[in-house]
Amino acid sequence: MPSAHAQPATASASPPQSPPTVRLTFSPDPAYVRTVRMVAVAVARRAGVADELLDEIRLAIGEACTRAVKVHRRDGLADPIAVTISDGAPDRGRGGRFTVCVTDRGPAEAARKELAGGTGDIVARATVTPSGEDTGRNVLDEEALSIGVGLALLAGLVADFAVLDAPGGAGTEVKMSWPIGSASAGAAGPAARSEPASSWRVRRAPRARPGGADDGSEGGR
Amino acid sequence: MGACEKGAVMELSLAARTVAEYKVLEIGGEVDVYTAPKLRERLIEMVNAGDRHIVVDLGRVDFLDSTGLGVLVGAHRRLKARDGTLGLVCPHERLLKVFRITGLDKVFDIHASVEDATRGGAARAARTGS
Repeated sequence: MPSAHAQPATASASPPQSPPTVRLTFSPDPAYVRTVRMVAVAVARRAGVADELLDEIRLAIGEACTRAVKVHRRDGLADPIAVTISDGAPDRGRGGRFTVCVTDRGPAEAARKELAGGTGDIVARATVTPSGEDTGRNVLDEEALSIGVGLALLAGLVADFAVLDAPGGAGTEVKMSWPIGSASAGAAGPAARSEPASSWRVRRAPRARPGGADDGSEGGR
Repeated sequence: MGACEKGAVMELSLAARTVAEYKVLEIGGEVDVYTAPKLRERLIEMVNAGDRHIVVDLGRVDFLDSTGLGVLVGAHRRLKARDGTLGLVCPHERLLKVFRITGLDKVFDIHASVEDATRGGAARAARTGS
């Protein structure tokens, strides 16, 4: 039933039995990204996520929100960006994960293409010497480059990370999760850390096993 | 915290000083999508004022994200276009990790200390095109 792209509304959200711990929306303004970072880290700490993962969480959520703000700015969208944060209850201790979803109104296909670019592209563009003038084009170029850098950073940082079509309509959902409890227990998540940064992973429909580890998300393009 | 004053970005501090032929820009606090424009402006000012060998000291930076990386890449390119150099001081593993994941550790000259970064040879580095 589930296709790789079109997720039924509930399938891409948290498992049916645990509504998000925190849900917030914010205007696509750079000033509020830090606020979201702080809220997410506070919820992660409270949920019992290992200390050594908190830096990664702070950076990853920051990148996802920053990317959303930049996409809205680039596409002239005034819509707010939505963030849901789940602390893994009631599956804590049984493989429940700390999960964050950041949803923007930009096109998901474009997001997947950016991700497919990988880091090689970044290094290549970073080393191109622009013409001497500081033109508006160089600034836009820098902006486009940093959107790509943001995604590469996210994909490289977060073991369990997926770019999905937003439920119910136009938009992109960036979903990330981390284990709760000791970092060594299943830190790699369902997607192996060795998976190349250029792939994106899609979540299947709700898993059959209750409260178990996440099932096969698969790599692919 | 600076919410009432547009343009007063409190989360980022910048201080420049001269060491030999280098301008060292020490950054404190957080470099993210909100504060990075302030850093970008400052670096552009420095380049326009004629500074050609700049060292950016990240030793007191608590947070650096892709926007910050983009600003550093922009400065690197601007300086390179004027036969200048951009060095980075990054002693902390948590920030180094960010450069490594994005592959940008291959683009920048990253040093463990300001002393290392300003040891001299900026002119030599420019000649070898690093």
